[in-house]
Amino acid sequence: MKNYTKNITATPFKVLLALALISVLANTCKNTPGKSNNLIYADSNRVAFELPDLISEDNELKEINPYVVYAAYIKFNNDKRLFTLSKFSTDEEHIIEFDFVTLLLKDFTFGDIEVDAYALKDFGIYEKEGKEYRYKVSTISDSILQIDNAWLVSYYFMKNNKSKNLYEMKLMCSDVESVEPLKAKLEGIVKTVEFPEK
Amino acid sequence: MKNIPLLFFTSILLLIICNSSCKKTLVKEEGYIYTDSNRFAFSIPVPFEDYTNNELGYMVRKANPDIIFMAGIKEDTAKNGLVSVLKYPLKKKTKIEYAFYDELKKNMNYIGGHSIEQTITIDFGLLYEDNKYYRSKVTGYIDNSIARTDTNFKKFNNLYVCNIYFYFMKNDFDDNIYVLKIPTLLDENFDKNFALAKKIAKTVKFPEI
Repeated sequence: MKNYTKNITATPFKVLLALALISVLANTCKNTPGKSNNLIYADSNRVAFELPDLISEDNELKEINPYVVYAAYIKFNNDKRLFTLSKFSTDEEHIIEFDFVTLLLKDFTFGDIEVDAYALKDFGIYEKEGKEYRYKVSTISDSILQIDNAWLVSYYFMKNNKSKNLYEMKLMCSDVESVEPLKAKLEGIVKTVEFPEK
Repeated sequence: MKNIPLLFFTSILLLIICNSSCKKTLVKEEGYIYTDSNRFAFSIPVPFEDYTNNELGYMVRKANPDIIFMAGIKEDTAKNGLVSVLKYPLKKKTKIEYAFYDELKKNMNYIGGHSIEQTITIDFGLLYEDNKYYRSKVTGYIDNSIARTDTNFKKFNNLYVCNIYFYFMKNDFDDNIYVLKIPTLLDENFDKNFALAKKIAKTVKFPEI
């Protein structure tokens, strides 16, 4: 009887101790957003992702384009491609659909940009393995930048799908045949996206 | 004491009967139009004439069975206004965002054909008002023989006819999407009719039946 009483009082204590240790460990991990071997941390550690086939990071583009929070060259089909992560911020918190439609589809389609220079080719949303992916495919031509009908493939995501910040991951190619492989590449990167707790 | 189980079961039975009969009795709000067997309700805040079941409505609904309501606006502020509600069944239950993108892509000029005359999407968006999101689209009937495919509808002259659409789905997740449609000209009537569509959109509700 003595032993039994001892056991039932000791067990909750052990459980509580274990839970406390787990909690401390979890919080420690959460508060340490330092770079791990696999993840790249961008935008002051607000967003993290895996970037396979990384060749080199580019810090100059961020100075030119204020929306870009991370840029790097990656290997793609024995070629070198510029990968960018941009951030679009609004004053008010909205669902991702609102910013996706308002900032990226509508403004670019009906805004002041010349129709010949920019064309929205496709966009949409799909679900794969329980995760939603929003994408846009467009073409752009710019005589100053010497870009002629380049294809831009972009994927979009937002923390908790409701935020003031919408992130865009983008890759560019020169031919329509590369669009689907680029979509697959970006989907793989978006799949790894994390928002470290600060 | 012996009657306690009997009383208990009688009470349960009465509760079930009351509950089911209460559900069937929908209290209709005054000024509201209830369509699709009371599944979809809205209000038109201007004088109108219900065409749904008259000869015109019958003929139009025969041609397009998706139309579940149509009415003519009897007010100068929305000249030529014709309000209709359509219901599109979807293949499976889906989020409104998926269905909305599919609707937007239907008449995008970049996807559309190259015929001389075509319907194109000339505007779309999400409106955020009173903590609610409203999804809209505007399509225009354009003649490419006299105008290039300029997607900025403000540059269109007022000869072009267009349609204003607002989209609704119960709980934003369903296998049916309801569409409010108002045709208009791209002249001063456009803003008036868009404002009217927005006013109607704000009254939409899905009564519990």
